[in-house]
Amino acid sequence: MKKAIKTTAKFLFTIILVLCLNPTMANAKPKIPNPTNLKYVNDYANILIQDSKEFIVSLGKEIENKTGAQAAVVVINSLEGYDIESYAYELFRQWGIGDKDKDNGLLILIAIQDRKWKVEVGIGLEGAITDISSARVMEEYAVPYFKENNYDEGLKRAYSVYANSIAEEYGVSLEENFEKINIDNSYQETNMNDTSSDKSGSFFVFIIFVFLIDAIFNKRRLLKFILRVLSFGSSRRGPRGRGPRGRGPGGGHWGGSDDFGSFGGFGGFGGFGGNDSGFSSGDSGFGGFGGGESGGGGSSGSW
Amino acid sequence: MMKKGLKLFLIILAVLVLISMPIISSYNSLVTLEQKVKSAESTIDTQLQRRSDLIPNLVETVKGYASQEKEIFTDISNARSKLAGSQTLEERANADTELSSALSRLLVIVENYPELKSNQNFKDLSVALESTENRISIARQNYNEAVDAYNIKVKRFPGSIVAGIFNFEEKPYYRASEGAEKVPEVNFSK
Repeated sequence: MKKAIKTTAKFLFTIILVLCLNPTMANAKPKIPNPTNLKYVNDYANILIQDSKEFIVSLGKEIENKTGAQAAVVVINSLEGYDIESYAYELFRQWGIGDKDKDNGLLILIAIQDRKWKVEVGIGLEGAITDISSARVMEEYAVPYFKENNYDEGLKRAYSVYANSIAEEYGVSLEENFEKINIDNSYQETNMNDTSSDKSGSFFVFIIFVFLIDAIFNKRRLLKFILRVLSFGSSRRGPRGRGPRGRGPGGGHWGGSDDFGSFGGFGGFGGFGGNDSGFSSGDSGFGGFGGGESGGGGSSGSW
Repeated sequence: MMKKGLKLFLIILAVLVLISMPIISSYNSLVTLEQKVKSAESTIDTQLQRRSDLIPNLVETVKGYASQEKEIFTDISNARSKLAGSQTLEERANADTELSSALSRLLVIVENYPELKSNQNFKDLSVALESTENRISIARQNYNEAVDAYNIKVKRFPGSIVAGIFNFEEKPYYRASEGAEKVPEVNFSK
């Protein structure tokens, strides 16, 4: 009997492994890095100086505090063969820039080696920053500096202009001197958005997990209980037929408080996932992005 | 006797609940997924319309510099009216492809008119056109993803049973006919 349990456990464990590994396979989309802890400026190419990062972070923070809109700058080295439109869209979607309901996010993406820029505008900001104006701002304020490899100046200027457009749309004014905040230069990657896999899959895993725990720590009481319920109708034995086996009087086998207590306790396991992601997103210091989406608005170009 | 009847009733009730729960949840998720497909489809329509609306302006601007290129203007206007008259998703996809190909030919022609290329109005329109192409491609991608999720649910057990009972049918992907799938790249920045 014990051997049977072991084999079953092994089999179930394999299923769990397969289910867990499956989502990581088959990945044709560009691999998007996680947001850095600076949130508003993510310099994966390491070309921006501290000053400009501080400028963008403080401005970005002010915009978010006053309007709820989120504007992020992302600098990458290379697109690795992907076109900038799909890269930007994928990044925007995975990070979820902007509020989930208002979709008021903005992304300025530049790829240094490819010499390409892309501004992706969330659906909620398309009124404030139209496709045409997004292109004009980049051509006018950023591209001339990009051509001289002065990415700091170009990004700062373009970011300020967009910030003003957003502020105008929401009817707020931005302070002249931006509040400087101390920022840590190290890049701790934060897992803001767990790419949660198929829900039914995880529910299945959870059920198997419950049975595994049941088999190991609970003498399979839960399994027996369920089997008994399933065979209830066909079984000629009444509930009292189990009396001689001598669990507590009247309570019946599965009615015992210990069974229910341990069963209820499983709920705690589900809590782990939630706690975990909650902790890591709190880590960024500014709070994560809001889960906004883009419909492909904005513009792109090169220098 | 009384007790036995009650027991039987409870058992039947339990079985009914056990059976109906997955059916209800399956049905509900099918409805949700179908709705997502519909909304994704209407997004494609919106964006196709948006592009269609941009074209007359663009054509007028180009005509100002290259009025002799009559053939291409006719092609564009034909494709545009085909798109407007399309009924099914497939017709729309084909008209869309035709329009894209006519537009890309127009853009090749534009290369011969440097003055036109530096015209601000033309620049703006081309940005708008380019963004709209991007929106269309995203809308298309989202539609196909929604269809994918829906079709998987319709075809896989146990959703397939519920789909059969309530007549949920497989949805078509947004796919243009062979040979013209590629959306032309619109790029004036060179």
